[in-house]
Amino acid sequence: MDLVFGVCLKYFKEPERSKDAVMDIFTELYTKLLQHEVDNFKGWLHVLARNYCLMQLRSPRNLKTTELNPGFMHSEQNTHLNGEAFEKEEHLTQLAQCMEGLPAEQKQTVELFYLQQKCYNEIASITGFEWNKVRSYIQNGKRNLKLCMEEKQINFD
Amino acid sequence: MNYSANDIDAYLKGRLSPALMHAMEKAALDDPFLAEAMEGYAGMQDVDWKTALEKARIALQEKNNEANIIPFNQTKFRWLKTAAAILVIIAGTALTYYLTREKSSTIAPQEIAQQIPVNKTPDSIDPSTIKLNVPRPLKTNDSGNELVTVSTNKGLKGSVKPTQINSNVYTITTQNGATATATTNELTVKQDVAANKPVPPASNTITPVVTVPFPLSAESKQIAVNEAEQVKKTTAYRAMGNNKTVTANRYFGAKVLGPDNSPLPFANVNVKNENFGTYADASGNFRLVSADTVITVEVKSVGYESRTFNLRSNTPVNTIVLKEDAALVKTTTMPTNPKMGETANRTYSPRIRMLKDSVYNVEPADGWDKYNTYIANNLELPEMILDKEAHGEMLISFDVKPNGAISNIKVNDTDCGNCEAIAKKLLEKGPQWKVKNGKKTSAKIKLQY
Repeated sequence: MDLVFGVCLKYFKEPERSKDAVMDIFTELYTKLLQHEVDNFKGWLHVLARNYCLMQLRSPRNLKTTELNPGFMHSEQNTHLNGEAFEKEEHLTQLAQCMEGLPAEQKQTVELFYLQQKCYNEIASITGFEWNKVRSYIQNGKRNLKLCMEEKQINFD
Repeated sequence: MNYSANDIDAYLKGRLSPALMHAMEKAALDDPFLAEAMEGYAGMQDVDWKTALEKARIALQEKNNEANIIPFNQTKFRWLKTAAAILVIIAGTALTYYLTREKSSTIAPQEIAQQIPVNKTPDSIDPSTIKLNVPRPLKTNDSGNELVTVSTNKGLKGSVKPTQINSNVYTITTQNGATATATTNELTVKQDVAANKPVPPASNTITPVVTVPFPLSAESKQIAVNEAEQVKKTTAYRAMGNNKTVTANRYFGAKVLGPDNSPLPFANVNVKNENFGTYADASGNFRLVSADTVITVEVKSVGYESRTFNLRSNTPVNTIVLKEDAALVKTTTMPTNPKMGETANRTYSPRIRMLKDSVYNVEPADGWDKYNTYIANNLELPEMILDKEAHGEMLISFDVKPNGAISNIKVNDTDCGNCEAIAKKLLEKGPQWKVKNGKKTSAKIKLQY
């Protein structure tokens, strides 16, 4: 619930309005769940909340929200590689290769974040990059690594 | 893990250790929901949102309590309906069980009550009728009568005939304490008419052996007899015709192949010791059951040399490869003139084909070729014909229902006296037929041998 409230805060910037929105979203949630089969609840709830807020912003009088196709949700859970012990060696070497292919800032921030478990603030102070930049580098770096590994998998098969 | 608003607040206010911050950042990278919520709170750091959040939390709690009651009308109702339906079905079946059990449960008290006062001596003549169950198939003699001899050790009264035509149930009348025996070419079925064991007064169970001390009502006698029959029937079938009681069931799987490893459909299979016959399916597979660990079979298929093979139950698929019969290469499949001086290698390859005046709506499910192979391999012509190496043909008409069931088999236009029974057996036990356009069809086929 706290996360739904937080998302509403982002869009409405008003606590009271956000509170009412949360109530409405949860009401909708009950009815929608009875109708649809939802695989990834968290993701689905996120989209539900966000859609509600956006609709509210567009025309406050129009309370309808769009129909969600739960299957449309991208399941975040599956971005991890299949880690069979047998192929782990293969994956690690590929990962190292992909890291080398990253732009310098992304490579540095990803290393500091994932390999050294540093938080954004620490990374910002170490590298001198701005906090938002740090976050952006890490996100982009992660995405690039994922693409690179996928490419390698396809070539390998 | 779900982060709360307070966690996020702590993060934003710098109250978390670097390690915890890292953990939350990592989680946010993987979870866009958390990321967006964090952005929301981050943009509101100077505003008091905590009060509003608390109000929302309380309101939701109340709603939750309400909500627990409301859905009852919708979803739980459905459960009730299905539960009610299931109960009705259970009640219905329980009721039917009750009604059928009522009768048998009344036998026991009667038997006990009657056993105690009177001690019947085996010599008292008290006729009782029993039914003997003789498993099929039965061999027939030249005139087409099935060869079953029924006797008892205390004299038979009345006639002994199958209770119905083509049934395997024989009704005989004999004395108590007798053992009735039915003998066919293949097996012997025995049944005790009365065991005369004194039933202990305390026991309330119905023993499988027939105890008929007094002429009870025909119905209750029948039920008691049926139970005895059931026991005998299962043992008889399990042993594939033997009268021994079976302790273990072993399964034998096999596949019949030609020299090029192609399957031989509908190959004829004969179990030597039991004189039990079957045939392989359209892919050459067949299965057998026995108490023994090895079954000896003879496998035949037209155009190939027959082979005797020992099947083993511990082999998942016994592969039986047949060699081509060099001697048969010369023989045509449709001998029109009986050749004089031909040896006992009977080379009948009967052919069947649909008559032109039949509706082309019926065909064997596996195709005409394979059906012809089935017939060639499994047709058991009567001795008379085989001995004389006679050839001829017969017209067989039958009905096929849309589900493939065959009925009303009749044989016309033939000079083979016993062929009706043979044709029936062949068609009924043979591979499936199928109806092409969903209507029950009468078919006529001509079988030449």
